[in-house]
Amino acid sequence: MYENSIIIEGKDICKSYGQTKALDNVSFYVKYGEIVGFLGPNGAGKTTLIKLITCTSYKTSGNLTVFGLDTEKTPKLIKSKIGLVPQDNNFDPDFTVYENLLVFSRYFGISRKEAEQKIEKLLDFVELKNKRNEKVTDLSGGMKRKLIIARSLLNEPQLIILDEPTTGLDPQARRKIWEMVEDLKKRGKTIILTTHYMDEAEKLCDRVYIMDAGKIITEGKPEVLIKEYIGTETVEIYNCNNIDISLIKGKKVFFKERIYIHTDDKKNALEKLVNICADIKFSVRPSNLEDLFIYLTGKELKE
Amino acid sequence: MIITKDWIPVWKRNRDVFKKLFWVNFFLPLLEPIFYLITFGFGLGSYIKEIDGMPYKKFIIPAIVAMATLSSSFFYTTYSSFVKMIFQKTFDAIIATPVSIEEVVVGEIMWGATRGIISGFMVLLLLKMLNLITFLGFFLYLPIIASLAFTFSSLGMFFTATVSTIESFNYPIFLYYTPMIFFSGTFFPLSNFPEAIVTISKIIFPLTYSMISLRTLDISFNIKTLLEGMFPLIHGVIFFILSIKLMKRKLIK
Repeated sequence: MYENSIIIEGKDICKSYGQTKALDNVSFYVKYGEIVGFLGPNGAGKTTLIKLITCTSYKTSGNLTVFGLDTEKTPKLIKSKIGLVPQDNNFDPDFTVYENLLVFSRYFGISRKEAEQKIEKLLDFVELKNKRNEKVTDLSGGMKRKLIIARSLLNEPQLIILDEPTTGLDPQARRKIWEMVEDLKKRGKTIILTTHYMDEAEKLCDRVYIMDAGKIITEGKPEVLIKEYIGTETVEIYNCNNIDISLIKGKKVFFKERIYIHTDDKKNALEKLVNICADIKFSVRPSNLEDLFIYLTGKELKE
Repeated sequence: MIITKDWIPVWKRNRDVFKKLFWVNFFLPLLEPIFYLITFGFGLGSYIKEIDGMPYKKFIIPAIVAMATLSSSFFYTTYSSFVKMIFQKTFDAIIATPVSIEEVVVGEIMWGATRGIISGFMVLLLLKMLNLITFLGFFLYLPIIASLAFTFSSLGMFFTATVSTIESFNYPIFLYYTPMIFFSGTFFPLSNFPEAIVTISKIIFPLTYSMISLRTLDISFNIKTLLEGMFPLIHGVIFFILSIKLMKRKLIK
């Protein structure tokens, strides 16, 4: 694999479940060594897209290649090179940590001897060496996620897909997962990530696709997208009754009884704001992907 | 439908769980045939002298072997597979690897069949120790046990592919499985019933053929009788193919 070569390419993908369109004319690509994020609220179509990439669902129309191979013609070969971290921790509850990994390695045709060596390294990588003989059901949420990351690496995949890897985890555990993802990127893995945490996407992703209702709304580097669409600074006003903000320059978004003013000119906004009213409650902060998403869709990400 | 040897790791997974849960999931249910033997064989059997020229406790031997085999296979590919599919998401985890959904289903059915064969074999051993079957019968029972195990494993998977909730298994269990256990010439002969009923019973309950054959095979070998006893295999193959197709349609949308 060369730098800049295309790992995944999707063109005009549609996917319907009966009357509902889960994906509506979606086109995207993922290059070698990138971390690409697919962001959007529940129901945006992220998981459907992942199912298509992992060859576990059929598209209604369009083209999709992974490693240059058609997902519906060569699923076995494609799946052998992908590591999936699914949303659910779908372990075998009857097995221990070690047994889970050993049993899973057989699905890839890995010999027992080879698997044993790999499992040692992976347990080391995810810091679960001392938990090897515990039942998976006894692990904490963070440990379960780490184990499922270890499981996704058994086949030394070129492409790793993380479907909401940190949902429901405490801040410390999330940071640990982020470190691992960054580490994997350094090892030359190509990574796809879906999330509805915008801080996660901003921290990890080289490029993001923002999705809503089965469509890709926009695509690009997080900081570039923010600058292009809404500006680098955001003033968030909490008590916004009878405030005249017409004098403040910037893009104004009214959302859930708050006003967001997105601007590149923080100084101007602050001066104007102070003149309007003395007891106004507000904060000024750098704009983030969440602001961008609300600006683009009028919706919040966490539902 | 392409099926490679990738179903084997699925079979091995199930075998490994079986080893872990051997006592609770396997050994305890094996007590059931003993209860049947005591109740019908030694209890009721002491009041009934002969049926079709055979002591009653010998008459019900095929039923006791078949029940152990059937329940071991059928309840595996129904409840156990359903729990793995819906609640544990084990199938989802496996199909993200090179193993296909068809191969997952084959691995499940093959394990269900293996399980049934093991159960049947254990009961057979017990019956041999009690001297309730002949040496010849012991060996001739095996192919029929295997065909019953495969058939009811496939049939169970067919129902798993068609029910929507775990409670709905009550339909096939109480409308099909349980009546079959009682009305296939298991505990009483069908010979007193009108010919039409016997014919219907033979068609919808393939177990009927096996019951008749097994009683004969215990006494004398005849290739035709053996093949008749394996008649359920026809049902087995049909439901094997159907269950793979239906399961694919259910899980790969």
